[in-house]
Amino acid sequence: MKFDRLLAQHKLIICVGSGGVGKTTTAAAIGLRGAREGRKVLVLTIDPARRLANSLGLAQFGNEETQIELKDATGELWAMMLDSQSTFDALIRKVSPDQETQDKILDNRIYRHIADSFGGSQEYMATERLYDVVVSGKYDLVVLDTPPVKNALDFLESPGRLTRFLDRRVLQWFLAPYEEGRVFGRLFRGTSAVVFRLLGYIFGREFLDELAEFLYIFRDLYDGFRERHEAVIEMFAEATTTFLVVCAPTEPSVAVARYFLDELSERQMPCAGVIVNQVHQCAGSVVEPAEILSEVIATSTTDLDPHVGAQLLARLSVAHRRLMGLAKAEGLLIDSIKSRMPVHSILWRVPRFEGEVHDLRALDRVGESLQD
Amino acid sequence: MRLVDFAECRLILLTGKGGTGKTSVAAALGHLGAMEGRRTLVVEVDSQRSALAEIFGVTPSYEPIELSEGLWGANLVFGPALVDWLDETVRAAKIVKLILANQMVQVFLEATPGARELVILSKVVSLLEEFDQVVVDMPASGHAINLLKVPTTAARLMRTGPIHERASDVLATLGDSSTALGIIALPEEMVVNETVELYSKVRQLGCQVQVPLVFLNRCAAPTMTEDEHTLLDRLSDLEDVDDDVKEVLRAGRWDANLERATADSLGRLHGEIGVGVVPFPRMGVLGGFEGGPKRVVEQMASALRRRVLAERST
Repeated sequence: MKFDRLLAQHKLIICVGSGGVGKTTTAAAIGLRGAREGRKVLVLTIDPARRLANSLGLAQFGNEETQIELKDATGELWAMMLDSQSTFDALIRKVSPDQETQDKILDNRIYRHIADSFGGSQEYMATERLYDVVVSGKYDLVVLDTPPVKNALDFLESPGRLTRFLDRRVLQWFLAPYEEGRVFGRLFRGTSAVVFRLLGYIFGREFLDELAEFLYIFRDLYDGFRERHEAVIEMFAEATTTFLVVCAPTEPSVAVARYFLDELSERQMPCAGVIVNQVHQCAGSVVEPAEILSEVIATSTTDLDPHVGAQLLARLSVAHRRLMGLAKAEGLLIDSIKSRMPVHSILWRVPRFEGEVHDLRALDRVGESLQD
Repeated sequence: MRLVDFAECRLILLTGKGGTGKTSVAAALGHLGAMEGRRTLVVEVDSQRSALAEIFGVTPSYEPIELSEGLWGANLVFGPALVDWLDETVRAAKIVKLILANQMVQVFLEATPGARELVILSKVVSLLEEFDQVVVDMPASGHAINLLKVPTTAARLMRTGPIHERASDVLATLGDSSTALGIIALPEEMVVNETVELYSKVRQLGCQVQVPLVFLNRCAAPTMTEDEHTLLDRLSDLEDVDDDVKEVLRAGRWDANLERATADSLGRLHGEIGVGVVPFPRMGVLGGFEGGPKRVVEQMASALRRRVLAERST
């Protein structure tokens, strides 16, 4: 299938894969291609490492949608890097019923720490922001670059983890003594009372009090969180959404790609195929560099060191054999992915380019190589 | 810091951009430790799909298992780590049982942001009592930073009580002179960018972990002369050459670019962050994967051992 058709048929493309395989570059190239084809595209990265900005030749960009200037494009390319803290704040502003609740949460010490530095909050917020931009209807296509998490589709689970925390039952259990406390002056009863004293002992009473205050304010926001999370999961299963597994032709990356394919199929998530990046190109014909190059070398080295021709020939011979061996080994690895791919899905190979891919021209070349 | 001093640290943490070969370096350092007679443990952090299994053909469990002689492996998953953590923190079996029996507490502990990270880091610290050396294959860059921020945040949020103490223990271990963080990189511009950024982020962390070395994988030692470069450029500019010639020249440029990128990366790492760099040559004679990942790790361990021996003799 032509890659352009894939772009035209989808509103949301999610790139998954291990780190360091050009996932961000691929997401940017897909976005650029979409813009060249006349669509309004947003590339969204939740990668804390700013690779997208690098790929687009920008120093950095933040939580706001930023337009990338394109010449000769009928569409538009926008990019955004998810910043956990500001996304969290924006979300609180959106779901708070009134100014007072909003201020209380934003000032809560625990909230500041959770949003700022506790692990996983990047992922917590990713689907929220994704929901925002897709639902806004501002874009024809959204391309999501996922963080290189070790644990496969963690980013799908993390909002689950957050909403579990805010589950009404847990909240009620946790807050009951505090609510009672407000009325009866901290009355603890039964097993909960014992467990509570333990939690108090482990975490320190001060922390529990603050946490209770935080959750007390948050409890009314739970339904909003849950609804949005469910909507995102539904969005993932829609016909206009597809996942693309991105990998490099190396042993560990291919193992991760196979794992992703299995996970996606288990979760019945749509997967259009696999993009193998950075493939070394070598036709593999057995040649003797000395035979085919001696003549031209003789005429090109008159002003150079007399041994340079022989030196370079020896080097070319080794380099060519090395490249041939590498291309062959990569071919075998790529074959091992094919058996795990869903029916009708496609495997695209993107060659390793000379020089690094971090400007629009190079991204265009990646996009073009996806058309074959 | 010399490699020999780094390799003798009791706790070694490794991170870097994804795909740079963290797990291989972790396994190679572990291998080196075992070769030098240390009881060494390589741990993965909360991973559903073991990368060590790809190398050793044995999937590490939560309880350390021996991967090869003197080298142990473990996968620190949250569930059992929490049980251990409660045992050590509360120190009363009956109470731990009571806590674990309460479903709400389970959900509470699992979902409390930072709890997962703190519990796992605490386990790493307590494993130092059982092993001479622990090598941690940490998550990639930004995620490693988030992990390392947790003890500082926790110690600050909980000003008293066992969590405060445990977090302080972790911080003390991280700041110890026998703990070191190594960053794994590749000789590629964007990877070096990220390495420089990661380095400065680690330095800004509340925990005082030292970052003395960068391991640069897949290096091509620069051996090409200026004349060779000139000749290769001239040949590449020729028109009307057949495909075989084009391909051989492309192979030559590929090699030359790797050499150039290696030199650039070494220069930038020295110049921009001024840390020691341990370069690894490309593994596999033909650039392929002969012998599989285990063989590659053994080759890397041999390279480390040669350097360590050389440093000791000076």
